[in-house]
Amino acid sequence: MSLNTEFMKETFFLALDGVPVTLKITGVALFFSLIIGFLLALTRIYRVRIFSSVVAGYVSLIRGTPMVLQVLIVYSMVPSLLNSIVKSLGWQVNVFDINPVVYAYVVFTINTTALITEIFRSALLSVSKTQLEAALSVGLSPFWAYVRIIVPQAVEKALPNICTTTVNLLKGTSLAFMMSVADVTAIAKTQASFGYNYLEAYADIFAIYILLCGVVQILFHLLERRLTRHRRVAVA
Amino acid sequence: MLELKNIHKSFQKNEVLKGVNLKVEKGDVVVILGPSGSGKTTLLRSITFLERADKGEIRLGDLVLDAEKAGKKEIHQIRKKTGFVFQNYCLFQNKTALENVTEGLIIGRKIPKAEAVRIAKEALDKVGLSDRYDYYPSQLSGGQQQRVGIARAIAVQPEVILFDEPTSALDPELVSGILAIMKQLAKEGSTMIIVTHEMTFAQDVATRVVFMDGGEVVEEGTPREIFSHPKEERTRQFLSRFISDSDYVI
Amino acid sequence: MATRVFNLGFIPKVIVEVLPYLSVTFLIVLGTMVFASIVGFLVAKAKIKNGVTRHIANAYITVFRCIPSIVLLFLVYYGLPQLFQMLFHVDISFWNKAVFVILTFALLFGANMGEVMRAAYEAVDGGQTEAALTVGLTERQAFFRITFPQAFRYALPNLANIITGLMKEGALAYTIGLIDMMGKGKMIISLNYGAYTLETYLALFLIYWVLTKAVEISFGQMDKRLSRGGKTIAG
Repeated sequence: MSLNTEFMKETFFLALDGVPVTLKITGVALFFSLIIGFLLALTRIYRVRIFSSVVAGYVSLIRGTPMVLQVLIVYSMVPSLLNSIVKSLGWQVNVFDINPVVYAYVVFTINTTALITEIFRSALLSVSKTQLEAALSVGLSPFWAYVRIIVPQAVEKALPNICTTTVNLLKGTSLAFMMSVADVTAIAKTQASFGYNYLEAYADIFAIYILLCGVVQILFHLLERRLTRHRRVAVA
Repeated sequence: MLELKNIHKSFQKNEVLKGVNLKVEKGDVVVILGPSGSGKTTLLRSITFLERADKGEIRLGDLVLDAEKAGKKEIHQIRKKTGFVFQNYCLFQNKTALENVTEGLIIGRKIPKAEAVRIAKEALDKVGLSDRYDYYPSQLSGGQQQRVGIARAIAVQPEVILFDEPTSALDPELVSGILAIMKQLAKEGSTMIIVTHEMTFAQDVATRVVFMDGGEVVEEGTPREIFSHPKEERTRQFLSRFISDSDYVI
Repeated sequence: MATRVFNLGFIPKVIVEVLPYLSVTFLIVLGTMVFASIVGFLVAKAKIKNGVTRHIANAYITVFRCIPSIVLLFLVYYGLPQLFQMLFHVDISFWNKAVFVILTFALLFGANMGEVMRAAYEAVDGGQTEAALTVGLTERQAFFRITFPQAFRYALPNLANIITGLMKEGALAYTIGLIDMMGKGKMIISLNYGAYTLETYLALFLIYWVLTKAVEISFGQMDKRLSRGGKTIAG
């Protein structure tokens, strides 16, 4: 028995079909996480009553538990929960017809939001308070002080951690197969079990993830270069 | 007693030491002067192989080390016979003042613990830190840290103590205390090689002054010869920048 | 999936049944840490030295940071026996599943360990080693008595992260049939024909959360105790 290169090639291109799904889950989850995470970080920093401790608890729970459990819990809870809500409202929708990828969006958003909240919180805290005071002193309103002075600096500081989180999110989406979503992992896994060509199939996924992860890292690198232009200009 | 012969050292393509010779007798206090980048520190560090010279010979007592070929054992030998005081103290951050001193005694020289503690306390008392035995370096001021550094170097009863700019990291008001301790050591007959910029101290305490520039020894002699009658133009230029004290300027 | 009443009382029952398998989870973490430390040590050593090995170490880190745990776990569990059969005509598929799990996570976390060890080593001032040598310690003594204890302290918070990360990722081991807490949970679910799925998962969720907290707190305590040497005058 030797390596089945023909199968490997075939599976590689089949699994590539899963790339859009993987990227879609990553993209959607990241998009919502960044927005929600930022707002939640603000509630933490300004110690918004009750809300702040609820957020802290949520972050702690998500960060302290395996992602696979989060996936399994959402997948076993949300559909039936949704079903009972829909039924009680008397709607004529079959919840179980919903594309499972929606549940993937939900899980990975819930997970990544917690991580992003923490990242933004420490990034915002690391921007010196005098920056805000300086902005207010030149006549900016608190809103504009945030938009123009504080947030850009915080984002710059948060970027490396956001990159790591994005890579982890991308890797984490491989668990979507547990929700019967046909992502890269799911496709190759199915292929592998057909002919017992595990080695070839998983080597394929391996390669695809390295490619995707490489692209993500390059994108973040470019973004970082753009955002830190002011540093280099100062030196030049 | 200590003799350096034809020491060469380059970093990449930059030749830092260009064949330095130096002889130190027992009880000598040799002060090495020179502009920054002249190779003083590198010379000092090459004696204990913190920097391995590319070529040359280092003799200490009956130890003869070829800089190029010296093996681990020989290097360890010469290190056990020398004390080294660092510019930035380099105290072991994870050990108390007392442990900093006992480390070389107990681990390096296998001296029984009780005996080591006794020696270490004596050394710390000598530098005026009898009330700081159990303090960690981060709890001590710069001056106190350097005192521990000196205690650590002298406790092992080295044949020669090497001082690498021991006061240049200190706040000005703390310098004199350290210099006083070094002066006391000199008085007691310790053999010392000191790299420093403290000119007054050099004049007071040194038995011999060595002026280095550009990786070589330009001139050496008694403090009087060097400070009052320097023969070389380079020495004169260097001293005139440092000394405003009219007594010593020609 | 029929709607039925959520049974809160089932959660403690699951916890009692699952907890004995904590030892499996614990052994996996311990075993992985041992091997990940060895891998990490080699990686850190290669990265500190300049040379070809450094590029190899970097490539290793890059690759293993990109691969999802579950993919590597499948690759090792299903692929490695195939590879062994192919190359050496040896059947290793009967090996204990824990071996494959530990191998997988040692490879994954070895990359992290390497980075943590390197950063910690480099955080210790080079003068510390020099000073140790000048007082007559050998290089080995200088490393173990002076550099290592200080580096360990720097590494402590990151080590806590690695251990909690490992615990969480380790929950995937059930997918190849290892019976740890997750595996037992899955068994409970199928024994009940899926009736108490959510309750079981929530019980596991709770256990893992408590474990992570426990690790974080105990490492925090250790950090406090070890920080004697790093206290400021005020501290």
